[in-house]
Amino acid sequence: LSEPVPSKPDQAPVQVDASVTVKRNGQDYVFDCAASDTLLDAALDAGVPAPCSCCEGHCGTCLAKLVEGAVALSDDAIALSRRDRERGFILACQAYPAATAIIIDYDF
Amino acid sequence: MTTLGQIESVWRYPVKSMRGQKLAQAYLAFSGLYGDRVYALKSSAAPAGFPYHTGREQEEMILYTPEFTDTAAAAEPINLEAADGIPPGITPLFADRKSFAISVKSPDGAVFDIDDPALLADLKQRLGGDEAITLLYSERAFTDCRPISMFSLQTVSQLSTEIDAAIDARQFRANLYADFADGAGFAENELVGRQIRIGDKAILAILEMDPRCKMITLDPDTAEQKPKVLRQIAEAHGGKAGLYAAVLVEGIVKPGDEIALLS
Repeated sequence: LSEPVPSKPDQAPVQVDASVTVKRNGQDYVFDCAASDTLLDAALDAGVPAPCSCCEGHCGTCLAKLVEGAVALSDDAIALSRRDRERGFILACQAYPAATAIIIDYDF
Repeated sequence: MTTLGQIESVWRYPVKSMRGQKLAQAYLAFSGLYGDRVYALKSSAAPAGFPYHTGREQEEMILYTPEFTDTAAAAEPINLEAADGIPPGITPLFADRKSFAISVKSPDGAVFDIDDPALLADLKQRLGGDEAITLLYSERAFTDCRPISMFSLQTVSQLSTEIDAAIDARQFRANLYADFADGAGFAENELVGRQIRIGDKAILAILEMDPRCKMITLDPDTAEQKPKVLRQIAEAHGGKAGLYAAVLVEGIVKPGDEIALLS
């Protein structure tokens, strides 16, 4: 497995098409995510029961652990604290794929 | 007039996002509960629409404990008894800022005056980063959206059952915790659009349900996140739990006060 690398705004990671695995309630869901889509939008389009509420980065409902791969987080991920980032968390609604294989976990 | 239940506890949060105080009684004012969120921190990194530095950005803020230096002066308006004595009740005077002086105990036990730059330095040292954090003061409570928040014990219990985990009611950071006779969680949602009276005088309009965020996931004693409750509210309750209210008639409220449905 590659080391999870949450992106920082000043690093401007390159967004790429990805295969995403979501771990939720003990199950794995695998789906494709286009470079221009957020992980949350792609998950919902694929019928994955991904939790969300405001979908604008404010509420933090879509907080997930980045297990593998990398993402580009928008500047609107304001519910993601510095501590969250240091611990490898992302907000799925503000996360764009920046690696071809990504695993995120809601069951942390 | 229908009795809905009673007030279980009354809380205020002198500094937005810091630890709350459980009160023997409190004054519900048009601008919010007297002494509630009279201070907040502002962040240069925050968006213009929500300029505050909160537990969302720095979780351990909720472990800082504020106390009013003069608890009597910060308890209720300065001429309340005289103003209440003139029918139908004159709007009383708020105390000046000196009466809302606060000391804040840090998670390490250090104590700072609220306007001591060392308090912000302590927070910044833990936070890191380059953003500027400054202190705000206002007689108007720095609530997120509406003057008063209310949460029921029944909804706490139902959510705990739904996620099969203990929930500390303090996570919801409400001003008023209600014990409703109905017994069902989320039954208070039916109060949206209605008016209630609490105790002898205070009348509230129930405006809307409260859209919840990360703040309710923070353990009040450790500041660690417990995200299941927020996910459950999103998936089973439309992202909302608890009530927002506005004060129509000001008055004192206390635990044990009857909650009556007026209209």
